[in-house]
Amino acid sequence: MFNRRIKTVSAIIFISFLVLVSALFYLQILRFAHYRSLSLKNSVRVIPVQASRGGIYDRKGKILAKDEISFDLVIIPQEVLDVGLTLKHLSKITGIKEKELKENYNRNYRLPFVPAKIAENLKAEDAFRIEEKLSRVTGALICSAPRRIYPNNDIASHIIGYIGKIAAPELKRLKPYGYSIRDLVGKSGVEKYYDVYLQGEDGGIQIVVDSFSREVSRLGFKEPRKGRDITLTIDLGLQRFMDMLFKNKNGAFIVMETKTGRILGLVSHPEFNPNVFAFGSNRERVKILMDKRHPLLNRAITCSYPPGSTFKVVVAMAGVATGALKRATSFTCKGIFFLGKRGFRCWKKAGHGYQNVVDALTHSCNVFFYNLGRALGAEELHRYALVFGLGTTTGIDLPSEIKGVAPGPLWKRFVLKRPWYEGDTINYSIGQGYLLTTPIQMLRVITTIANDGYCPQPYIVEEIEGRRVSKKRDFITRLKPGTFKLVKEGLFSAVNSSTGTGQHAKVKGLDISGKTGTAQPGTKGDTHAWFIGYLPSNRPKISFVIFVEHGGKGGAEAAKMARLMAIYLKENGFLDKNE
Amino acid sequence: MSKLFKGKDPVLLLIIGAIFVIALFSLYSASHYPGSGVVKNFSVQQAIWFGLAALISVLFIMFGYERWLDYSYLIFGLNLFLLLLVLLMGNTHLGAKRWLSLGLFSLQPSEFCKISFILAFTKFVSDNSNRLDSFKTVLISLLICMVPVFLIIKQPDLGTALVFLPIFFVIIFVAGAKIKHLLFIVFAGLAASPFLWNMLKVYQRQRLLVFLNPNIDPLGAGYTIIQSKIAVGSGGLFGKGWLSGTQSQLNFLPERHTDFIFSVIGEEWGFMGSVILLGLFLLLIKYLLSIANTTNDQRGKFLIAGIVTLIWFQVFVNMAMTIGLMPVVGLPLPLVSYGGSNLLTIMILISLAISVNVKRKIF
Repeated sequence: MFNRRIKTVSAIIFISFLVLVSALFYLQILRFAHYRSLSLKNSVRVIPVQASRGGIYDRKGKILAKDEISFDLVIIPQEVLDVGLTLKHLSKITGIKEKELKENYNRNYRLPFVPAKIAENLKAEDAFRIEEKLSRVTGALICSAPRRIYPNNDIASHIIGYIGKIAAPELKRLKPYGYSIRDLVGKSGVEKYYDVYLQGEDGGIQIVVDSFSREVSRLGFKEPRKGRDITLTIDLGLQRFMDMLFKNKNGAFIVMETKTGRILGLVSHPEFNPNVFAFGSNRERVKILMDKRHPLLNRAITCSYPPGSTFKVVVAMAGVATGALKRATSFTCKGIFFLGKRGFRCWKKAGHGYQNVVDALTHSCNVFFYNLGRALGAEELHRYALVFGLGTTTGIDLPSEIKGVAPGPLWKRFVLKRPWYEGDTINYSIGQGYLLTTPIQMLRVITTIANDGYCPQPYIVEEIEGRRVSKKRDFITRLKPGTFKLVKEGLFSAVNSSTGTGQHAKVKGLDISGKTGTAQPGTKGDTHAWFIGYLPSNRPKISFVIFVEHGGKGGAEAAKMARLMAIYLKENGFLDKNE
Repeated sequence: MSKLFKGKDPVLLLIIGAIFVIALFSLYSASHYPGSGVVKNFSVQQAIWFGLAALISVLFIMFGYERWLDYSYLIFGLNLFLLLLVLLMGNTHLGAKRWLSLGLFSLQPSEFCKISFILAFTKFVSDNSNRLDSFKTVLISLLICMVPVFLIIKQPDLGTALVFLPIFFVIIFVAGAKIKHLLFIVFAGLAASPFLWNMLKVYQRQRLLVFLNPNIDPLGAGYTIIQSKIAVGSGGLFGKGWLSGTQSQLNFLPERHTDFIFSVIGEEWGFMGSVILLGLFLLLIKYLLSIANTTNDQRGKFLIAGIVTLIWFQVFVNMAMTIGLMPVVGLPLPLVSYGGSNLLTIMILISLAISVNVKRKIF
């Protein structure tokens, strides 16, 4: 029984092998001539048709990045008898140095039948002029391909990012997703974060050619698919205005809708011109890369700094939330605070006198916060730094956001291998020492206070090809709404009181709340200036953070920028009651 | 040791050796580039794998298939658990989760599931062989088979998942299931195919469509089929000679050292070479089946039926897809394609078959 059935199986297997043999016979013997001719001439050729990348638009539909048609000079390696000679000839026709052509050829060579680019982005008139002369050069032709354009040059460059040729390790990672060596991929900003959506799918034509490389027949065509368009939350006008406020200073500036997390503007100064990376010369690229001001760094999310006095907001919240601080709780500032024999100064030498929390926030009195911080202790300061999201990323949809450092005694023990000293606590309470925050983290701190305990996740992409990007989860502190009242009062007073440190930000007819900050930089040079705030004070609609590297004392520089921004927002209808 | 290879077994070793020599030559050719020479020598690496697999095979022969059958349920259960683990936390390689990282090395549970399934299924069928004429038993067997199939399709690895179906059919057929029951299952499967179509990933559907008309995707899967057909077809009667295949040497063929190794052989050794390779596989299969015929243990018969089916199915599907008779499903050519996991699987299975022969002689 079993053996009979095994025989049947054996017979079936034998028949299946016969099928294979006859298929091979058909392919290798009967159709031999056909396939040999195809293989001898290497005559099947794939001509890639590049897909254009999706565009990037601001909230009003203004173009931030788009693809335009450009013309490239290519040669098909297998059709050129002597590459060196051909390149020499082409160099004469185009006026481009032979060495450069050779370099491009080596870089772009892929397969014998795949056209290799040797000159990119020719002007239309040049392209036509060259094409006329190409008839005598075999294997060289002009191809058109999409090219990335950033019409606003430097503006919003850190948000948009730039694209470049795919690097080897990236290719390894992305190959399963259909990327190939010639592809341009996003290298930073939205171009990188949303590359999968922006990237189109290349098409191609597969043709059979004769020995004169003329097309004989077409085997197939695959249509390229355009990448998806992306609409951002930012406003190009506001972005341009914010950029202008920096003049020659470096720093970061973010403006966000308090209730929704929409980023209306995000500037990291200095900016760079993404066009240089898409089609600029090597020299221009090197110039940006070597610039001592590091224009490629996105200071808003990829750099962290000591927050200085802006951190007092967190300390004050810690005081109120733990119950240690009431409205009446006061300390006397004599301009200096002694811890044993060591003196810690207030920024005002004469001292502020008798201060409660609202006064202390108004005047940014260091001595008040030294006392408060010491009373709370390092562990509590650490805990509330975490409650307000320091030491964790905000999750904004841009690449390379960093966490900063929210230190504590244990952290110091593990990372620096040194004990925590009382003096560390004192420094901690005015936002100095080991504490490092990114501007966007401070934006989250101030927004959380504006919203009485939560901050929507900041985001930069509103829609992808007409479809809304799904809403992210809010950042929640679980503090009672009542705990925010005192601190908010202090923040209002800091801008609007005649003695407030943030009075440079005051605008008539507008209620702005905020907190200045001066931070000792780790390196030499002037102090950094901070300003975090929101407006209108009673019903916050916009929150913002301004950070100016070496911006000078008392945050005046930053506060002045906040004032101009507030006026701009008012005049351009950002504060109007809608939605 | 000499007892192990008594009788006709040297013939088997000769056949395997011959196939492997062909593999080494083709892999060398596939790693050879005109002008730049050998970039990464796959043949040396594969030879190392082969040595390792041979050592492990000896262990399997000594342990004996009966003991493996005793533990087969446990092993199969463990294997299914690993498959589940891969789905939950496996490494993504080429867009599919197949690998389980174990620190130093990574494991492909779906590959070893072929062995554990054949063992466990053999045990199940022989334990229930007197009840196989009832449709209920056949259905339960099918259910056992569908568990790994489902888990592996989810990875997604269509090729490997498909292997289980012919193994199921052949083992249960040899064990004496009614033909009308088996036909019923086949027709039910065909009727359910629209539903199965929906279960496939987009790229798997695309491959099936491309198989019907390669020109709809001339840059992707279709390109491979066209180029592979040109390579094999242009080989002619005697081929272009070793290292002289223009299609494969000029890098027209992607994946030529793994799934498309046969197109290198077809191009460089022609019709004669292809038929000789096919003949060797046929000899291998015939020889294994002769062991099944002569053994008295019915479990040995079922086991070998499963092993033969696996080898046959991989040979057939791989060659058929290379010459455009079947869609590209990504199954390696046994003993020839580059890759350690599959080589190890095939060698272990063959050593289990040898162990059936050894036991027959000892007792």
